[in-house]
Amino acid sequence: MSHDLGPVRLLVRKLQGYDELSRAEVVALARTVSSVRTVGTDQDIVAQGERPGYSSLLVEGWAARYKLLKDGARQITAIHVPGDFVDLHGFLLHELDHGVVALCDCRIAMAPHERLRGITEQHPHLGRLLWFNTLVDASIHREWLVAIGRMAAVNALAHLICEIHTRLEAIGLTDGPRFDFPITQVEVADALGLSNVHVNRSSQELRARNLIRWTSGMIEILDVDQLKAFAQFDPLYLYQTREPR
Amino acid sequence: MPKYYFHVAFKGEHPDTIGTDLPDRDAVRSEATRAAGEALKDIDGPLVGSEWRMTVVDEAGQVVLRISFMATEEHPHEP
Repeated sequence: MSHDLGPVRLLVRKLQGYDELSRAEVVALARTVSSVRTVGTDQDIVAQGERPGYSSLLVEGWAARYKLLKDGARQITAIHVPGDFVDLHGFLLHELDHGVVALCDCRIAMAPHERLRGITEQHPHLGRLLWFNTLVDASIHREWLVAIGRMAAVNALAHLICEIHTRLEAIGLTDGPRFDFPITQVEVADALGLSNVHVNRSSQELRARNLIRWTSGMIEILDVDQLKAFAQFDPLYLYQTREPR
Repeated sequence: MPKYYFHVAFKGEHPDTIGTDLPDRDAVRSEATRAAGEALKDIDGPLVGSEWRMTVVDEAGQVVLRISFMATEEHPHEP
């Protein structure tokens, strides 16, 4: 009878950063998962234009939302880490206006939309927290818009690193200032709307300023306060405060 | 894929120690132009009086492309 909390463990931890969850709500979340599947690196988790009928929750691995232009240029519009739904908004939007790709091998928990509907009907507070989750996704988009639109590349890169570190810290996936970062430089460039060459140069500048160490698959922030100041990083937009929602 | 290094000189040398893999000369040209535009946009301080130069070098150390910008300012005589 009891559903394994396993797949929703980090989602629960993430939501508990926003508000208290009752035991019944945690059980209800666990019951939204119908199955878990694996998706390999660079495979689509969902495709643009798809109507999946379920939302995908990252259990392990990282993913990115993206859109492609006709010339093959790709803009990554969001990066997702474990505990994130990659397309919770699909529950209400139905058809996805973007694709989602696995940035490394991923384990995905599938939450059928009829089970999410059940949540909204039987657990209204939990339903509001799922809504809140999508609002934070939107807030992150706005912050990215400002960074991409108005920041110099080196500052926007610093900002992205600060954001990822802060999001991972909230779910216990950092080792102090160190964290796994399974994103290639090309993918970072696609997220920042920049050429790989300019991101390359920007990352070299962050190293030269002794702000970060970035080796294959791992980042260590060498001076957290300095990097945040350099990035004008204010974590308000991540809304990681516990308040009744 | 061959690797290319995009060295920049502007008020000091900023060598590319990492490089970028690109399939062909068209890609090198296109990537260099985009990167130069992005760097120009980010320049902190006046471009006037200092030349901004990008030199693209292949793995053998041969220069394959050069891009440069310079701004000169005029001060017309007041009537």
